[in-house]
Amino acid sequence: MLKIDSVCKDYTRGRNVVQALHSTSLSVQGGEFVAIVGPSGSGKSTLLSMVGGMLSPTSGRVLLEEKSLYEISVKERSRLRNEQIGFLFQSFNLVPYLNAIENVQLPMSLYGTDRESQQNQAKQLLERFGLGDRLMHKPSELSAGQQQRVAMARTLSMGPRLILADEPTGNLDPESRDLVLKTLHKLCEAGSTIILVTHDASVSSTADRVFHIADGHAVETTSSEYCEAA
Amino acid sequence: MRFHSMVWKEMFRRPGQSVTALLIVALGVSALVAVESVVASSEQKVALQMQQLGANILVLPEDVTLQDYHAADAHGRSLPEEYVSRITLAQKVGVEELAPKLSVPAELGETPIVVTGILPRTDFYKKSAWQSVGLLTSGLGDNAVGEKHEGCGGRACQISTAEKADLSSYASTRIVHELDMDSVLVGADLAKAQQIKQGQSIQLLGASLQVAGILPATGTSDDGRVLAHLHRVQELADTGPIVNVIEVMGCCEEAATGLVSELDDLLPDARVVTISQIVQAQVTVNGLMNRLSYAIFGILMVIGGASIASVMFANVSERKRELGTLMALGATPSMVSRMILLKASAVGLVGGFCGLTLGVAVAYVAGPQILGVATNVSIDAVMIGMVVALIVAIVASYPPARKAAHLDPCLCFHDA
Repeated sequence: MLKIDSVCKDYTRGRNVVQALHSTSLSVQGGEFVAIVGPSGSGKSTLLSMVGGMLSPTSGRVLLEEKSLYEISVKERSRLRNEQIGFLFQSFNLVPYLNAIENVQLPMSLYGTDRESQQNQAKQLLERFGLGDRLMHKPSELSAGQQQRVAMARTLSMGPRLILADEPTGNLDPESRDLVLKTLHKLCEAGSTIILVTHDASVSSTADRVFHIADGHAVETTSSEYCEAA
Repeated sequence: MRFHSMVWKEMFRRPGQSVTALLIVALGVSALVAVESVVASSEQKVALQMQQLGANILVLPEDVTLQDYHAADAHGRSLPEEYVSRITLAQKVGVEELAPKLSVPAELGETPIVVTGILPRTDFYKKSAWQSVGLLTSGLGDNAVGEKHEGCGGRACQISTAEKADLSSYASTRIVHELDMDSVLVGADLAKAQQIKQGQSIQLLGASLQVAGILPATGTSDDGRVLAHLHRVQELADTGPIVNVIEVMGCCEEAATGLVSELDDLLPDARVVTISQIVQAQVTVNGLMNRLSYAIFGILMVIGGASIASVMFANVSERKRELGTLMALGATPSMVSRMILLKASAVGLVGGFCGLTLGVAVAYVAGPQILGVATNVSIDAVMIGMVVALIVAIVASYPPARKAAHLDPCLCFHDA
């Protein structure tokens, strides 16, 4: 489903060149739950951005369903991201001036889905996450757990086949964390592919596969081996 | 939800940011619309004056300066009435009519007004002195006071005696055909304010005078005056045989141009001016105000544009994470930059509209104060103001829009 083939990413800051990823390769099958672990600054977000089609590699290729992400136009890539990739962020990244239902509608509104369909789909998703009575609430009027559920509903609004989650449980209480993980696993069982970045061993331990990124390289490991090394 | 509705929602979330930029744009547009409307109305007034009175000449006391034709008798100085006879006896070519006038202050009830004494046209034809030199012997007709300007197609030459007798022609002819010693004509505004009707008696300068007619509105200071027979006013005000001004109605501008020097020679102790000389000062002021309004507008648009650019840059910086998230959700860089441009366009349009409303209000209030006549809105200024405001807003927000489009989408991740 996803193949990362010898990608390198260099950041140039004046005269300094920082190598964030160095000849990193990995592949992920459809329906897998993959955890990416590593220390801060190891290149996890860089890798996630590349997989999400938002950061072109200095060299190497990223293939999604055999299609090279960075050999298509910006417009095609944006459309593909909208339709096939979902993002889940640690800080939820909800738009503060939109209410819950509008936040969920946002991906659907980018490419002209009719408004009635948007509304129905968004309402159903929010009700599924137990937020049927919070449709008109703005993010500031919701708890952290509720905000993350709105964010999840937004992620699922276009029915993505690949979900990229960047520390989605980092700011949540244990109950909300469990709900998020449970939802992600259910999506996995339904055929979605999940790539999740985390520092939390209890989260990575639930993944099918674990990749450890260090010094710009990705190495497959297990959660327990990672914990021991840490 | 439409994607572009995010723009309005974001604007209303924190309107204060956009208000400063919007205010400057509004000020610029309002200054342009207000000044240009006043200038345009002033130019129309000048053009109308030129059209109606272009061939008219004023004979004034020597040291009088004049800004307003219709206030030509309001300077308090005087000329001997004898000058009227001199002009008439001189039989100058192109002199159609003469209107000597004397204005005195009076009270109508408790309201201070101006009473203007005017010599009616019929009186010219009764003067025995003029009859004795063979002038006007056959009674009233289409004869001019002076010699006819041969072949003249000028405006004054086309006005018949019947038209001159009609009160509604007063605004353009400046003469009264017939008026008894105990009769008055009342200006339209004064008649309305004092509820004076034709046939009514009024007390003026200690005498009871009959209202022979109500003058139609002229849009000038005459609307607030009472016109009476010149000699009756001289008698009641005890001024003696003097006038403040002699209006000479020329048949056409060509004849009037020649008349000026001839009258200057005939009346060396008087000042002879044409309507174009009187309006020249206004024309010069109009030109200056016109240039000034565009200069102020231009300066305020530059400041407004800089303000909009500054606000938009700040807005993009504050919304980096949000815009990065939008791109993560599938928005293209051009969509993101269009959001910024749309917001700036809204600021430009709203600012332009507020400015136009303010400018129109100022023009309607200030115009009559400055010009003494109603002001019409300059449509050209409105269009220019709105279009330029929009263009300035879009151009000023182009750099921040580009910055937004080139934001690193990775900003949406927690450790970016």
